[in-house]
Amino acid sequence: MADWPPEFDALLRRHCRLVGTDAPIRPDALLVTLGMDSLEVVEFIVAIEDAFDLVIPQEMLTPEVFGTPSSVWRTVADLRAGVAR
Amino acid sequence: MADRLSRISRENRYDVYTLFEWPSSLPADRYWISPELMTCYGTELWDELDEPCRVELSHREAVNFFSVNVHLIRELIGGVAERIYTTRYPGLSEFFHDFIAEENVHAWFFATFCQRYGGGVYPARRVELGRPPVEDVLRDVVVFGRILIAEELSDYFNATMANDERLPEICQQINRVHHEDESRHIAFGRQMMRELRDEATRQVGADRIAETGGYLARYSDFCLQSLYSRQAYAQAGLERPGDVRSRLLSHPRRAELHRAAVGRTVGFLNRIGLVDAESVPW
Repeated sequence: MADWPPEFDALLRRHCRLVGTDAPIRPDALLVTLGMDSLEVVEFIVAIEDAFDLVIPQEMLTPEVFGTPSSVWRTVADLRAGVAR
Repeated sequence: MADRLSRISRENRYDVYTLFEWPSSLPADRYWISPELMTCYGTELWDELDEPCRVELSHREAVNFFSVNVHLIRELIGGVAERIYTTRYPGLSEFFHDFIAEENVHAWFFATFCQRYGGGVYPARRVELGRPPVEDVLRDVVVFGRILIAEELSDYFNATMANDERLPEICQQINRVHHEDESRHIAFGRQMMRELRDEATRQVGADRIAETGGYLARYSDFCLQSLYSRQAYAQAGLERPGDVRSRLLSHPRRAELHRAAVGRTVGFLNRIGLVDAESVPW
């Protein structure tokens, strides 16, 4: 089950071209299979930073962090909580 | 064509390390990028900013523009280097060597500007996701299509600023030198795209070509979006730089500049049947 807030869910749906409006998003689905690619992820990063008022450090901009909805959300949640990774 | 372009490249080669005279600092009260090319030009934000704020923002946007160029060049050098000795392009190795040599020089002078006057090259906020097309020809359409789009966009800016006397001489000179070199690369790039189109038409289905063209249309938009830098807005002292970026990107007046900057490239790719011009979200 997805454990992220509605704001994050909305961002995922806006930036993953292959996700429907109401279809559930599996937390462990690969973002690339949901329609994310190297072009779209740039705007996804900007949107996350704006929505949650944070900066994703350069060293966290990796295919691992941006592998699945779950891995992205864990990173965002940790950054919001001030958890060092 | 490649042989001729290589010959011209070698005849016109210069020593980049002695070509420029780098001043110790640049005048703080002059624009470093033409005002008409700034991302807030023509919008309400332009009217709201006083002259010193506009000038300060122009400094940050110059650094962003040169940084974007550095990152695009890094990518294109990688793409060309991967192909330099492949059997698909046995006659192009010499030209690819000259191409990489010139691009290396360009990256050096763009980065040097950023390091001397802007505190460093702005980082590329990117993540590599997804895989390139499986078909050789479509992978090359993507690589050389991206190169052409990036070079023609940059060239639009360079041509405008090459002789803009409102800018410090070093800014004009960088843009002038890049503009002169890029004309050869653009001539080659357009010919390359025509030949790749012919090959793709013979080898793969129309739906796969359209899919790849859709990617290039999105890449045009991506390049334009990269000019709108939150880091630049923040360093220029603008509040809520993320909101500024969103507001400017969606401003109707900006579409005019976008069309002016990449419209000719999209038009060319549309004419040769690779990109549907209507699919670009200006």
